[in-house]
Amino acid sequence: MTLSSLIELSFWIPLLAAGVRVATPLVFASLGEAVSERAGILNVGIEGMMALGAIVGFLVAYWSGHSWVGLLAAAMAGLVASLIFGFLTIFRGADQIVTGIVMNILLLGLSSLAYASIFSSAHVVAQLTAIPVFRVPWLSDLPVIGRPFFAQSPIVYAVYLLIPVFWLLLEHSHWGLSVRAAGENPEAVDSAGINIWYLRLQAVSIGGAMAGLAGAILAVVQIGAYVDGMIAGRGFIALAIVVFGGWRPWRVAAAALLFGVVDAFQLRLQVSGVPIPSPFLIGMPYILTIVVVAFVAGRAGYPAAINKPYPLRHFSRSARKLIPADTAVVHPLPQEHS
Amino acid sequence: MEIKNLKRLQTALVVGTVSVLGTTAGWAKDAKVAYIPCGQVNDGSWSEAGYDGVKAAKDALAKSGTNITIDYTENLSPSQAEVAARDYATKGYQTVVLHCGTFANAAYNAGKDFPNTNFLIVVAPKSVKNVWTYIPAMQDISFVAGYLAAKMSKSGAVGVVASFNFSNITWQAEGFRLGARYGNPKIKTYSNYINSFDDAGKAKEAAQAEIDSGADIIYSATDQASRGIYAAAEANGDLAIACYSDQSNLSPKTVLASALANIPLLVENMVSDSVAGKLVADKVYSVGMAGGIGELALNPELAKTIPPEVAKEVQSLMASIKSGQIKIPAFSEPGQSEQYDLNGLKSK
Repeated sequence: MTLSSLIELSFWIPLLAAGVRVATPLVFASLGEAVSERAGILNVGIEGMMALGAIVGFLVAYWSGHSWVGLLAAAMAGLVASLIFGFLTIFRGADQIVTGIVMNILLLGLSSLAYASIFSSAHVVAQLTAIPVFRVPWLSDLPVIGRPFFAQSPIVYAVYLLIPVFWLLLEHSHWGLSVRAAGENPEAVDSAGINIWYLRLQAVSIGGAMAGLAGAILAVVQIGAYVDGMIAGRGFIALAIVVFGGWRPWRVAAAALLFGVVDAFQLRLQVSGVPIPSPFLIGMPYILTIVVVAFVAGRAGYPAAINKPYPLRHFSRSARKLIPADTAVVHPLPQEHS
Repeated sequence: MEIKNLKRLQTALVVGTVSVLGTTAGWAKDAKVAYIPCGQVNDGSWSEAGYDGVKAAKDALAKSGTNITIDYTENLSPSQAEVAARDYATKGYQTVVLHCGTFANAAYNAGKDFPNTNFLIVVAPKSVKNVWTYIPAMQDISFVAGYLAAKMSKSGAVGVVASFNFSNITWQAEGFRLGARYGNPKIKTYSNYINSFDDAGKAKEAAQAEIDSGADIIYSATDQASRGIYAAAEANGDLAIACYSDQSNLSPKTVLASALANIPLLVENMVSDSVAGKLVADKVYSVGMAGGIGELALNPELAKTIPPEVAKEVQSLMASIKSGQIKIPAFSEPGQSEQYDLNGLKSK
């Protein structure tokens, strides 16, 4: 393989396919995190939740013999972890970033501990049976994009369905409107009589479940094994991808795909023997992410109410009775996007 | 008179107790050994191999009357490893084993401040005072693995996926590529570095990149991330050669063979010598096949697919390397194996 083969389709088609594979767990984690952040909750703990999802997903898939059961269990595990995170940040006003870091340390350690205690020697644990690639009948024969997008593991097709679902949910539903308002202008949501705390908890739960699912996809579907440290920073990459994608589902997915393609590209550059030192090549996707985030974050910015816990003043009914009617601050609701 | 006798009694008692204590301290030579690896002690790979070595040293030393207790701390980053090493040294551990190539600075720094503790560090530039480096010269057995891969390759291309681009690992990767050329001068060899010991996902994509370029046998020079390589090989119906430990049962249809470094033997010898005080000052313990480091374990299921003449050639190659007839060079830069003149391998 020489540099001249860079212009051949036989280089780009497998590259694109690899990009889709690398992006798949990232898209899951990023979509969930986008919902969470739009509601005003920055969950730095998705790295830990992905690790938890990986170990739980792997263990359940290993013991039950079915991959999808493992994925389901991983989503539930991520959900439980995010409920803990949500309780601390929403109902106890803990700082979201610090709590997220604590969750990371806790869950990463828990995953290592679980694996080390359950399997006394890795020799016993063979690879899980791989889920075969499914070629979509007509679409996989399309030129250029056929193989990369439509000859993949079934979980990739699940992502194709999830992206429009998240888009509709976030941008074109009442629930989505409340979630977006909760992130920009929580007082408006509260004045509208919506329980903003439960709303945020729902958003962060979705984020946690998706993160758990992302970790399980990596372990169960893509690798077929749990390896300590296998998440390798993907949770943090997902945080960057959410910013990169401007918190909008389609763009987040595109950003994840770009990251995946660049990562796959640098690996193929190494194979071609190009005389660039490997540490620089390996850094390419991360450098790209930093550069884009530096330019994007300046313009769009995080939702206004991020990392600001909404006070629990009127949470309980008795407290609500004490609030005089005219102290409620009314802000106009954000304009609905077309 | 009574007081003088009392004083003599006191002196006798003190002298007697001290001498008894002194001799018993000489008999009960207990030592504490600490083990600090990169990964977990049950990872089935590098870290577990080192731990097996420390345990073997304990058994060997127990036979000669020395009892050692082993403590370990897993999964540390290089800065954490330095803290742990210092901590163990402060607590009076006799030997601290740092079993990770990235812990070199931790070993040297801790060694400076704790001159009474022996530090053993794997794959470091030099041995200085109380810090000794031990190096499994993996290029020997990697060469053999490359030879086997080249003979078994149907597509005429093989590849290696390695963790980090530093000395021991690059020697392995380039040794494999050189061995492949020795087996088939027309072979194409690829290498990829993923900068991680445990990112199995990246290892999978790295292997896939090589497979997409035509390779059909991938050598793993990563630790636990090798799982990703097996996943890629399985998905494409290709083969892999594992490293550091026999990983045939991790992926029975994919792992053709495993390049055993016999790391346990190396670590066992180092720890035993360290506790017994037999380590030679400033010596770099680089041990290759001549010293027992390097065996090829075939996967029993796939061994039948190897043609008998290839199996014989592999055996005679290993014998030549063990006897020193063939010397495998250590390449520190990726790609150097492609330019090396194969005639230079036979020592004159």
